[in-house]
Amino acid sequence: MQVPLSDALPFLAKGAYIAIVLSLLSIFLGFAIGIVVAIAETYGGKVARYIAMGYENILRGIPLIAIYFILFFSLPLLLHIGMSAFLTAVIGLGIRSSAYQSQIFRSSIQSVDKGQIEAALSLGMSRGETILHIVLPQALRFSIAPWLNEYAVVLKDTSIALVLGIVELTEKATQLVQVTKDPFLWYGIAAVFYLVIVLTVVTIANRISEKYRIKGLGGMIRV
Amino acid sequence: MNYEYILSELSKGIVCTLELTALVFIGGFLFGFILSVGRTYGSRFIRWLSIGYIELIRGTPMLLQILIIGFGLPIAIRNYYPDFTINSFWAVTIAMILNSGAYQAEYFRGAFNSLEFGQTEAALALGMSKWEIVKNILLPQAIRRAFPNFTNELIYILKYSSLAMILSVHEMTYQAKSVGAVTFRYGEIYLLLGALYLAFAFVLAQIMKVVEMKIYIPGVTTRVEKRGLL
Amino acid sequence: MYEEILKVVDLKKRFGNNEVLKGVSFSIGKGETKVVIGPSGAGKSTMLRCINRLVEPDGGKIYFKGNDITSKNVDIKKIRSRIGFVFQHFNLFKHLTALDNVKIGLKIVKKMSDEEATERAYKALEMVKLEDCASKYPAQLSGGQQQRVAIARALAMDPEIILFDEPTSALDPELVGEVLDVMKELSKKHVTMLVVTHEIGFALGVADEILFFYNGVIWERGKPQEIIYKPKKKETKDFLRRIFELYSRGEEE
Repeated sequence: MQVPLSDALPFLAKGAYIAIVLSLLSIFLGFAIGIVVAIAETYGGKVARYIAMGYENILRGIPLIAIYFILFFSLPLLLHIGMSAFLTAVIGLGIRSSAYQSQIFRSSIQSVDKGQIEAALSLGMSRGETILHIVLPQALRFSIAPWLNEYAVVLKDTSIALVLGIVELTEKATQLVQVTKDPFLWYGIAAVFYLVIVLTVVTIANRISEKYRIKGLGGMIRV
Repeated sequence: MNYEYILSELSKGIVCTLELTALVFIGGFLFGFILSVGRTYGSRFIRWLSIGYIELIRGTPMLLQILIIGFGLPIAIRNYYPDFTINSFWAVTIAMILNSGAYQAEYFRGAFNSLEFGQTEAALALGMSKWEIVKNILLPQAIRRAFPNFTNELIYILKYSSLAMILSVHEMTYQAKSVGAVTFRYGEIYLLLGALYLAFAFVLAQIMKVVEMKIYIPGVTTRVEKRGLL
Repeated sequence: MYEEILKVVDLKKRFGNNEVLKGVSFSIGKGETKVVIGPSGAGKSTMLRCINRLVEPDGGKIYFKGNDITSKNVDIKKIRSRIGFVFQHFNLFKHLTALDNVKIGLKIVKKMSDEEATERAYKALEMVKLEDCASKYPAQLSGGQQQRVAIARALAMDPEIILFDEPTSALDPELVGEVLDVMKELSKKHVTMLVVTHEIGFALGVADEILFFYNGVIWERGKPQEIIYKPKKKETKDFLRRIFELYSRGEEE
């Protein structure tokens, strides 16, 4: 069966829209949690550090699909906490991203010149003030490039939300393929969408990272 | 509560996952190596082709790639050969190898580029051919330098093998889902699934660490690794 | 009986607008040691690299044992295996032990068996007095030791001539001596050598001829005693004066 572009493109556009919304919500959720975990792991006491390390390792070792299923099935059945599919998708992708973002922030924090911290403390600033006003602003600047790379990862992984029934771009494309028996056109359009955004984001990230270097981060991010 | 049933079903899934992971990692390694040699040392056309391929793969979701090969391609072929079927396991394997190869190619390339030209000069001065230099001088050092990246890639493949369940491949996640459907204990089963992935990720990371220490040569890798569990 | 090993005729090379070699000509006979001196960055390294075509010349010809090796249909890999090259920064293969560094050329390029290669390699390491370091990796050796292994690597291939590109310039001063000693021994054993260096003492000691490289050509040449003590050209005098001021190492060892 044929589907004309005039019908198909708006159909796909809705999927693209969902993918973008999902990716933005997740990346920012990941940012909020990631910063907290990074600070806990860098500056926290033993307990905080171990919890943070455990959090990171668990969320980086479990596949996203499994995280989704645990949130969507195990949580309601065992703890009686129910969530919509979309909320599950955002939270699942968000907490997974937070585990990777935490590492980005940790490396950036450690890249801040130690002399800065010494100077701040010598002025009489407290530890907290030093972290808030001196370390974090610089660390965040170092984080921009790897963070953009992480966004590219998150955008691509929004496709996995289709197992929860979320009709994002890849699912929409698949439906069109089922109906029209023409995989190359619809998957091709979907591919172009992802490609354009990912390549743009990654190129910007590369330009920025030429200005700043983070020691110890090379190779940890699979973009 | 038939524990034997659960155990046997999950074991089938575990074996499938591990097979998939091993095949993709090795396939990706070989394909990635060839791709990176083309990308770094090839003619202008080959380089252009490799760069295009790598950017295409890295710019699109792995799930999309799996669906294209495991779902879209058979549909397209069925337009001409209506009885065509593919084995989903191999379709996913191939799609993931094509994907992993692109990433591993970049790890190789980074490692190749980090080697100083002087060693290549010395090898040329001895009379070695380009291929002999790549094989005997550059590759052994590149593998050691890129080793942490390969470890990450292995864990990554283990995790993303779960996508195969979307095409009904009977790997760990699919088996967990089917066991859940039969026993209605979805809650516990998925937690168990998560724990299994963690366990395997840890084991694989340890194995790679041991290998890394075994092949260590002083002076080839420039930094001491200090990584967390994964 | 004079046997010409290397003859360089009117060698030219330019990088972009910069003509680095403007017509270099000289020849070296079997058993001779010739030393090239001259200001840094003038093109001496480039000249050496043109000889085994690590850098392709833009003009002129190079004759190796009478054969024109600048022509197109020459198997350059074969030629390179007969010309030894010792680099300023050693360029040892970091993932191989000292012994394997010396062996690898023998096994891959000269296609020797493992036993033969091992025997030859050990002999070469003995010649540079490093047979005890055979199983050490480059990272575990001092600069002087690494350079001596590099010399052994070149020697083991049994080359017709060995090219040395400022072999001691990257070494700490106290390690320079051990490398120069090895090179002096080789020269006395009549290994054919072409050495680019700042070590005037070495040149005075063993060179058959000194070539002063300046402005892209061999500006002046002659026996060591003549060039060092009675240079004819102004540029040669200026250069030598600067060298003596910088290095203040007596004329004798």
